[in-house]
Amino acid sequence: MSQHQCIAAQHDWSRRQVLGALAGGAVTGTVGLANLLEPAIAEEIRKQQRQVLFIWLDGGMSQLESWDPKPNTEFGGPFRAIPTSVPGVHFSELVPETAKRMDKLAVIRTMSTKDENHSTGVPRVQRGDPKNRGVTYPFLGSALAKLRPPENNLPPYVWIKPGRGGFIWQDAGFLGAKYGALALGEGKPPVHIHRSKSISDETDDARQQLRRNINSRYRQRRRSSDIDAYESSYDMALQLMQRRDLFDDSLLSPKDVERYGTHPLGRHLLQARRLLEAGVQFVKVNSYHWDTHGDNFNMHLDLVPQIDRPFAAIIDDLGERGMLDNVLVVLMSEFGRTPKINSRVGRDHWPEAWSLVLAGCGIKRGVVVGKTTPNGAWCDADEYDIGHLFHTVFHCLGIDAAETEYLNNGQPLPIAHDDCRPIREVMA
Amino acid sequence: MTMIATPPTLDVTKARISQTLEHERPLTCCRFSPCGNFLVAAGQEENVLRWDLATGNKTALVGHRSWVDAIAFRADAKRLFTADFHGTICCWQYDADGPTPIWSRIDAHAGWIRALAVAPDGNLLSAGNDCVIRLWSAADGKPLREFAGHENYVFSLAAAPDDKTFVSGDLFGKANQWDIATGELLRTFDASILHTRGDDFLADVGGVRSLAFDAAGQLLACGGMTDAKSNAFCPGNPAVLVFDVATGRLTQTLRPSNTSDGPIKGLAFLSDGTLCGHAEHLNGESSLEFWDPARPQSKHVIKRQSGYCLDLHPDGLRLAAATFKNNGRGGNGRHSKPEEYISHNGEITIFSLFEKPADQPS
Amino acid sequence: MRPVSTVLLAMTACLPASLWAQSLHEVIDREIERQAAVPLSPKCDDATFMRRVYLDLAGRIPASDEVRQFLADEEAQKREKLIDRLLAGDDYPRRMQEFLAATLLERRTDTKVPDPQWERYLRRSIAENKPWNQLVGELLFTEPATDKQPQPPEKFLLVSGREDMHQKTQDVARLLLGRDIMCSQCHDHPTVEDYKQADYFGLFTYLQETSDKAFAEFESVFVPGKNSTGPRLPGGTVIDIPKFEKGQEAEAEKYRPRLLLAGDLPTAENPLFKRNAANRFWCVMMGRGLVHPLDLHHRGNPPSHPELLDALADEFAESGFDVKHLLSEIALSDAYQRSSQLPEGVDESDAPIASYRAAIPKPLTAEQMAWAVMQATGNLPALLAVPAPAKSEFSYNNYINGRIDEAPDNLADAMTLFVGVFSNPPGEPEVEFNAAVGHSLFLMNEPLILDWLKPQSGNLVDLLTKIDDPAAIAEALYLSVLTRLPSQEERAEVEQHLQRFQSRRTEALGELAWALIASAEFRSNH
Repeated sequence: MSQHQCIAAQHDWSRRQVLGALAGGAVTGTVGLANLLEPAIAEEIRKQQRQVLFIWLDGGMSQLESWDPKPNTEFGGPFRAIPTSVPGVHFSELVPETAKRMDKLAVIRTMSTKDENHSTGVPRVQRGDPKNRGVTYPFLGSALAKLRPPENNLPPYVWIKPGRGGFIWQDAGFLGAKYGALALGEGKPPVHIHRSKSISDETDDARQQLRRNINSRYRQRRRSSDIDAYESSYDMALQLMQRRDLFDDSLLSPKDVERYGTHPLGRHLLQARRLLEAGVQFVKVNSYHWDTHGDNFNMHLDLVPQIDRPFAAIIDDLGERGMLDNVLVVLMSEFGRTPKINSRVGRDHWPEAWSLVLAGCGIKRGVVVGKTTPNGAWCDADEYDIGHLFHTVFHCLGIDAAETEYLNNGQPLPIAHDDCRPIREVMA
Repeated sequence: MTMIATPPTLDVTKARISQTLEHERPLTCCRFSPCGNFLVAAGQEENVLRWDLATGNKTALVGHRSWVDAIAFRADAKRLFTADFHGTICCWQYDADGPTPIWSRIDAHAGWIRALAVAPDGNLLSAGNDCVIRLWSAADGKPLREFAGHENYVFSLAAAPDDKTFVSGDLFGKANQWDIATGELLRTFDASILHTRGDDFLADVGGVRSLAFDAAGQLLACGGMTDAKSNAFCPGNPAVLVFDVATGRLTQTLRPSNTSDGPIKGLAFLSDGTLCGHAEHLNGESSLEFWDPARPQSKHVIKRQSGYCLDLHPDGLRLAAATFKNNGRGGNGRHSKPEEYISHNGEITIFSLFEKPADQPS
Repeated sequence: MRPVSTVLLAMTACLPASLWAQSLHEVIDREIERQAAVPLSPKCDDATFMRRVYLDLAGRIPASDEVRQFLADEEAQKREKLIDRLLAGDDYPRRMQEFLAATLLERRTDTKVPDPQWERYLRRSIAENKPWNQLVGELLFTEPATDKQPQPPEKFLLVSGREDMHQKTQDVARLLLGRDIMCSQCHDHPTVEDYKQADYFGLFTYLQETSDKAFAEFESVFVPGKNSTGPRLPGGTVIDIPKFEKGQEAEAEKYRPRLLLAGDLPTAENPLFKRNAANRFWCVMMGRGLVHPLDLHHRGNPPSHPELLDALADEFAESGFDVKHLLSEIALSDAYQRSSQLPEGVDESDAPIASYRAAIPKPLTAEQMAWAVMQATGNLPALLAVPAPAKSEFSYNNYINGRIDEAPDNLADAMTLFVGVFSNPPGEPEVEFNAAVGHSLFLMNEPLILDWLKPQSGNLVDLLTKIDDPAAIAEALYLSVLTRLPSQEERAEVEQHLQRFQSRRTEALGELAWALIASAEFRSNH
């Protein structure tokens, strides 16, 4: 029996239920999967594998205008600090909503990393900045697709980004193109996600089977990477077609749309929530243009609320759905911004001491790790590099980085930087 | 420096630096006092600074709790008004020995106050991020009137020489002219090319960052930048739009000869109708540009660091420019010793806009 | 390995190439074999060769009768003759125009030079085998016509994005000098020692329009201190641009920096230029640059075969930058004609791509996909029969977003659709295989594709409906779509499929054709 027929039926059923529920005038709140599927299946899904929400503010959000404010100091800028829901912990006044949820979060204020460039720094950070062994390491989403192949049929690594989508095979590094990221431009599904009415299930199964047979013959004594990638793209295409409900905006509750905000980062984080609810293992959400070399304070005034609001919303929603135990949340940039203010009233790149936020699976709640100097420029103690972060991430997801390794053409490779360890203070 | 007996002839081509005032932090706003004896400046710290120009003595005016970027003077009663990024306005007697605020108004605005101007009746206009312009009693800071209509941050204010109106400029490039007495919005000068919001921008960039009326009130100059390329570096083409006040029409778009990448924030008309503008610049030298407002190309250029504010001395012969001053430590400083990692500095350069008399020592 | 040849090879390796006087294709094989030092795959069979060389030199797959003819031909030199025929044919200029336009413009658009003019200019240049250095010189600078209308070659620098001087500098460096210098705009390149900020601004200055702008000041954000430069190519010296007074405009015109760049950059004396050019033409034929990535020539990223790249670059320059000669020599080599299947018993891990032990499969470009799908499904004649409208209403974006309902009915619009689907976003090179989900969804669900697989006006499926014998059907299918004959197993599979779905035979034929089109074999130029 074709594997696809089972799953197709399952998803058709759940989609009918979704539409049925709405038609029947059911809840105006969010439509969670758990409400729709049979209890046994819902339970199964609930104890599913762990997931990651990776939010990337590209360009370098200023830690002084967010998680590590230093008001009324030499470099602190004009914004105030406000208390959070954790006594003694203050954030910038630009993140009031997240401040209220600090009790669910862990903030590391002493990230201290090497690369102060975007073009080299961004991939370096997202590849875990391991020791240089002459191979291109995979981005985190690709790594997890390999280390923890998900048991569902969804793309393991989905990237919601502004602009155009596509398949980003480069993220997979030495793992091979198949482990690349499925990029959804503006969070939208690829075009052609709807199967033509002229193709029945039977026809589709038949032609896909033929295609697979032809490919398996073609594989003989050929390098596998491109063929694997091509086959994966068809598998992924079929999966996406079966789950087009995940992109149907008419299924969104207006209240959610309002809570997250209609700006791109708000919409994209709401889309991320849907994908996480559906079981996508790794969802990355990007926002660009945080690199405020010019007019830093005017720009952060407008930019920071764009993450504050939907981030608070998604923390709330994941918590409400009991998903914070399974989903690891990472919110970061490639570095922070200079305490020193430049001639355009801007801040430049600052990898010396910056902050990131973690939450969810395996993460301790309501803690701040590390302290920067009173002027915010340096780490006072406990410096952590990207390698530490990756060890921490792997550990929270149940992967022991000390015991696990890749095997690349016979070459064993550590999955995270040899000299780093998980950050204990941040782990539950 | 005292006033000399026969006033020299204004000649910008002969302009030279006659005094520099230094500070540890960048200063973004500067004004000469109406009596001409003081210069008051403020910027990236809480204290407002006052210099006695004759002696060079610097006094800190303590009262604000955040950065200050708006300064206005009122001649009679020797009043100085300052406003900060927490929305607080302070009123001072500017020639007192150790001035403390006569009154202060917390939460005069929600958020930053970006501009102050003294109305013809001596009361105070203020504007900032909450988009509403307010008129306050100069005596005690009581609210008198509101002017609502802007839909984005208000950056600049200028009282018109007609003594009846004032103009406010916002982030969208709208320069609104208001009737002070009635609160009515009379018209909007369209400076929208000073605003950019590209498709992939996360924020609006630009705005009417500076405003200036000529002495007769016939021309209104709006300073900023056009064609911003991003909301990250925010680089653009500095420009001054010159409007004919009678008709409201744009008569000229002035561009600096020396390329800069930031907005023209320093803007001042000289007594002979010359317009001076000074832009910010990230990785290079900026310049003071002097234009005949009827011609797009500047007629004289003085190179200077990235600039934030210009003010003309009451004697009409001196011009102060508030600029950034690099503290000599380049790059982003990550490899400096912690104790050497200190803020960049500020400088007020005072130019004498006339030929140096032959009998003056160098 | 043949022992006698080993000795011979060892001897010849000591001799300078000029003494040995080998043809370039022999030099290619010598260098590949010498460095591989292990068994290489044999040459590919005729069918594979034919498909490969048609795609590479004609930008399309051959029609079934062309295939039959070639396979039956017993002439010993048939491959050489096919190479010559394709290079002399009408498809070659079109193919190279498609390749060069995509490589040089990277899908950026502009409205000042209409596309048909640009295409005509490229095709004519290619057809007359214009020397590559001359073509590049024209792209860098062509005097506008007297009416100030841009000339076709100006499109290279006029496309959107390149009005920004920095983008212009970076693209010229990447595409014509093989250097990605973006990271050296604000400081010396952080990881590539050879890419200096001074080089960046030397090129930046060289691209200026007027002599009074032939000077740039720059400062590193890491190292304080002002620097300046006039026009200078990397590795070269600053050229002297005199200062001109008012009234000397005519003299000043001679010193327009970009005009000078057009003469100075594309020369035999500029190693960056000739090496980059040779490397890119090598890559389009062989599937990988000798320096890879193509825009990262520097000491820390040496060529996989240094002597070979030297030989290719030098011969290309000495031949007067004769493109047809270079492509022909590459096509004549064993290395080009090698099978892409690994040698018997050899594992992937023992045959790194850069060893050329087996040929490197290349993804079909967007244009090649278009031609191949149209040809394979037999719909090309019908599409050619519909004249392209003078100004097409068809836009990829509108069609994809449902704003246009009409599927393309002519060749030009069909091309636009395929290019929209299979190309990369503007500014992104198309070198590596990108297995985008959007491509698969397109082939699966696009109504036009499904329509092409329904029988109409003599297309493939139409012809197949008229054949009874499954073996003949299999043969017609495979020849038309995969440019080869089917194996026994494949014939059996066709028969089984038709048997299973005999009640819906026409659709079943369409499914068979579809599966071949959607296969990795079709997608790849193997």
